[in-house]
Amino acid sequence: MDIPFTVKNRPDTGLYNGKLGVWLFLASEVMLFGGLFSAYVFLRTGVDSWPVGADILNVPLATLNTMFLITSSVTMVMSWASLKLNDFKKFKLYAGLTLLLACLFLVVKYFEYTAKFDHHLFPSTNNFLGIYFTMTGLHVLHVIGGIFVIYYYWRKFDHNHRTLINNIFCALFLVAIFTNWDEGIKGYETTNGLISIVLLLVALVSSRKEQFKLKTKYLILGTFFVGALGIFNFHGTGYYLFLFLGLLAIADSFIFKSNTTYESDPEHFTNRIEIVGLYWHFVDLVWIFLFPVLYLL
Amino acid sequence: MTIDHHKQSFWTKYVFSTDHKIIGIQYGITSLVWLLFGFVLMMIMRYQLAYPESPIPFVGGLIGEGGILPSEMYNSLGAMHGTIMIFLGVVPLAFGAFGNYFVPLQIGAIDMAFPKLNAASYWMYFLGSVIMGIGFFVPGGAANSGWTSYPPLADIATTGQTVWLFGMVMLITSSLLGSINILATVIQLRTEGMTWMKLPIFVWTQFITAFLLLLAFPPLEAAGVLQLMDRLAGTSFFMPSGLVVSGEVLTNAGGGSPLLWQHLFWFLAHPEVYVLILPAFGIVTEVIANNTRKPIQGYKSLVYSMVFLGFMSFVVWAHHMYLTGMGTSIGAFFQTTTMIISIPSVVILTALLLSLWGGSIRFNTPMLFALGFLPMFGIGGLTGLPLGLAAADIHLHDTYYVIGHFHYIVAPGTIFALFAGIYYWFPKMTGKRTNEMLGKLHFFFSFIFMNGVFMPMFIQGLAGVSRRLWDGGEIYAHAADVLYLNEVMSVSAWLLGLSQLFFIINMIISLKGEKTGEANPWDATTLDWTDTTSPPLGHGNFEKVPTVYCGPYEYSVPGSKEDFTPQSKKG
Repeated sequence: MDIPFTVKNRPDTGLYNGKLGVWLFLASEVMLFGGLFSAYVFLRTGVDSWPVGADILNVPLATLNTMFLITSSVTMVMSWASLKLNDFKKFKLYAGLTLLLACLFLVVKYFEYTAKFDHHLFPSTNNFLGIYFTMTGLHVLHVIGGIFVIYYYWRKFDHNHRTLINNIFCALFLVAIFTNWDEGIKGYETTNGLISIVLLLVALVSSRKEQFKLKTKYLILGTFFVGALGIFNFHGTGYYLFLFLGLLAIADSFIFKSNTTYESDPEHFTNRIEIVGLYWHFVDLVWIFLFPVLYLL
Repeated sequence: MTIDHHKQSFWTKYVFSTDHKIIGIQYGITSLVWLLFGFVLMMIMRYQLAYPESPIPFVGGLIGEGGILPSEMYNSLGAMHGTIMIFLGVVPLAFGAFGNYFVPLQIGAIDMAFPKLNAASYWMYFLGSVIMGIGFFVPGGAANSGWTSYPPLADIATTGQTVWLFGMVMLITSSLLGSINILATVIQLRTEGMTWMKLPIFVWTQFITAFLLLLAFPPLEAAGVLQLMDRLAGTSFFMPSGLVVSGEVLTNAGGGSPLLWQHLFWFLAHPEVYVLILPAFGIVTEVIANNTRKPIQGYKSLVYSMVFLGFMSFVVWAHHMYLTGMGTSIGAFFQTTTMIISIPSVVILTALLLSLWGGSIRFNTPMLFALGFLPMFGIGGLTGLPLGLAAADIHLHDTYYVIGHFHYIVAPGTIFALFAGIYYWFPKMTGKRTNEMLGKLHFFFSFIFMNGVFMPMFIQGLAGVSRRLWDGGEIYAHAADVLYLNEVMSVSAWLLGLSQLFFIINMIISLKGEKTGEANPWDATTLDWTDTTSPPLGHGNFEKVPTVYCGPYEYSVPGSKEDFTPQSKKG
């Protein structure tokens, strides 16, 4: 037996289950951010002086970020519309653009945060910065969550595509190892680094050639473990980059199973993209509130 | 999603299952274990209260030097007792276990709307409960700032508080997933003919509970994030300027407000009270209708009262905060809303009492517990009224009176209803019957000792004895007259603990017993009894998905052959 209304609308509500589910989820998200906005009002009205956001925060960068997110909302809805028109290639294009814009948002956010830290402005400095870091931080987590979900539906399909993704990860991984190298791999760790590189190169080749029958994902896992042994010796940025990219690569090759919904049930797949879109618009909307409240008021 | 019928291994069938019935049982067992654990914590505390600073028998060795309960640990046990009972015990049992198992069955659905989310919800809860348990082993012990975690105390408390906050975040996520699932299931998966006004009251209560969880918990999550920032990143959201701790001025930026936490916390925690009580109403309604063999009195007024109760529960939170120095006009507003919210509660209780009128009552174990619920909830509710009025609350705030009040609602109230539910649905879940004799012993002893524990609290509270006193009020002159009650309550608590053996033994014996094969031993009308086998089919619940024609409580319909008309019966 199938659970009813997973794809088709229930006549009296006009919704399929997932769409109702995501609206309910968003209702609770409204309460979450509503609680934080109320906290902001409460804190601000409780003290005599409160800084003007624009004096401390970087308004032009935030404006740029606002543009990125609004545009990403547009591309998101375009990707859904392309699926409705049965144009899968366009879907990949627009969903890819959404991913790109979301990543750009994070990059800008990274520069904003580090600029604050460089000026010794931390969450603990005062409550304005505290609430700024808390709210934007929580929003960034939502953006990252969105990226994972969109990526999950965007990646995959044929073998070549999968290989491409794997190779990109391997390449990034290699970059991380070399960055790490600069920060001083000596003695025992040299062997470690060398083994990692060899494993990755085998992974690169094996993912290209089917007849090698080597599981690329296990090689990536091996690389990660060999490299991760260095945790006792290094604490540089490069090393954390290595760990982060390694975990992403492992997540990519292990956790995410290839999604075959589009082939088996295009309407279901389209619905899922609609749901992801609803979430993504919400993330966008939160930012549209955050921007004036924190940066301008 | 397609539900497959092929053979499953033990792990996929019972551990990582996506079947709502298995998940319901997982929730039930985990939460019962936590309930017992939370109760044990309290029995330890009651020893210290009855015989201050004397070594505790049996568990003294675990506690520390000489087996005497240190005051810091007393605080920990108190905070964890509250947290465990509410978030790990009663809510998961009432909402997670009963909701999961019986909502789909009662509305004629083959599973929840999102089976995988359902499993995720349970495992989040499990993880959160493990994190809560880990709190006991970190330096400084488990969280010790009360289950309310009021800052600034909680901001500067030991590591246990951080663990508590992480645990809460997991539990909040779990209840978020669970509530979305129940709501979507009830809205989308009602079977043909199951209109809103044909829903059993139990489903209505779960539905409203889910709404409360969905909308009330996120502000606490926000508050939890802010408190985590205070503790880990050094912010001052809840820290006022110039706070002096142990004779030293704190160096944090200041400018925050402890009241902010209280607002965010009680915005959750007042609806949470209704999360605790609504499923209990639902279970009691089912049991009473079934065992009086007549329709429930005022089905519609029950439904409307519960919906109204749900809405109102969002605008009464500041009645927990009369003593924070808020203005009289705000106080007047919250007093008014608090008095208003008592009206639907009275409507519900009255409807249930009137349902007994003229019924041919069967006094079996579930019915006894349901009947016990009514006066106990009544006492709990009525003693709440003085607390809702600021003038009376000034005297009673933070005394044992408050403890007595809310325990009457949750312990002999909700927990009795939950026992009623367990005894009532045990035949459905297992296909076996419980032992009536043991069940009745369980009820009568529990009933006596519950009152033995909580009734004296009112007397102590009216005398002005504060809650959270490590020595039970020994050093206060005004407590001297009522101090003897400490021993009465403690002995009652331990005897209450012993009475639960009847329940545990009953469960073990009954589970080992033979299957009776009866699908509907209580002659009930709802779909869970009339259209499924006992226990229901592994996947899909029903052999044929039923269609609904009748209301949920058509008992003793004039002119019909039997004294009950199943919802799925045509005509």
